[in-house]
Amino acid sequence: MNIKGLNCLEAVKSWIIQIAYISILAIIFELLIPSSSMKKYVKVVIGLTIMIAIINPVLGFFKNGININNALEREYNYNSVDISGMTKQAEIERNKLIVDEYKKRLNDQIKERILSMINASDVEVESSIVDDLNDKSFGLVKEIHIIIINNKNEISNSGSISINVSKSNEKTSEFDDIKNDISKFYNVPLKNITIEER
Amino acid sequence: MEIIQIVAIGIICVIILSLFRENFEDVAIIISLSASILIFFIIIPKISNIITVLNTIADKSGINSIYVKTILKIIGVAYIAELGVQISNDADEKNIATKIELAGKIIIIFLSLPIIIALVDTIVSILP
Repeated sequence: MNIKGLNCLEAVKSWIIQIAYISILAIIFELLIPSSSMKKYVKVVIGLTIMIAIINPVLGFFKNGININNALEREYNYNSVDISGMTKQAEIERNKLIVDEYKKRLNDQIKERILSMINASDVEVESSIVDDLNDKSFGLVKEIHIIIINNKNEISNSGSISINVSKSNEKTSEFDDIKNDISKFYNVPLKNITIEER
Repeated sequence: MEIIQIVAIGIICVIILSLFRENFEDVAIIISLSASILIFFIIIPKISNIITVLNTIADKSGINSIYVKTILKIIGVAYIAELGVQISNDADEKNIATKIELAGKIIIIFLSLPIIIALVDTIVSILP
């Protein structure tokens, strides 16, 4: 509730209190009247006074005039500005969430793909995409950085140097396969895909 | 307790009046008037208290003090007129009693004229 509403409520409250006081006053006055033929005359006057006291606040309301249109417009504009601001904020938040979710799913997908191709214990994928939702090329993968962690092949095969060399050659070709596959699937230039092994 | 004094004065007056009414009617009227004024003076301090409280309530209620003063004046006029009417009736002067009553009514209406005018003005100003 705004300040104007509170003021209005305050005014109504004071008016009601005023009427209560006047009613009490009227009862006491009526008790004071001598019980004679004068009673009805005095009662009329008291009644008129009460009427004036009750009408007066309403009179002020009428004299100031009720500009409902202005008040409504002000309220409406205020509300619409507020709501549009909130909508914008919510839209920004939503877009951010969409991009984040998209990135997460993309990374998961790439991870699954790599895991199905090689025998690694874990794969971390960091991708950079066009994250402007208004852009036509939204979602276009710009760069992919893949970290292959704890390759089991290497651990299980810790034999002689010659074997290691052959293994590393094999690994390189494996990485090339991964690169080619991802490059084809996500339409990313080969130079933008980096694979790191830990 | 004022009420005991007042009732005592009243009863004594009634006894005296019943003795004097037949032979000394003029004295009886004077005694009756004196008793009325005496009782009235006994209750005046109480009335002033009541009026003070009424004024306080009126201030809180936000009524214009002119209206409250007018009402109090009207009540006073009604009391005084009533006193005159009763005494006149006691003295078997119905004619005078009626005149006093009429005067009281006219004065009450005269005093209430400002209130009536204010009300009419208010109602007229509400209408578009």
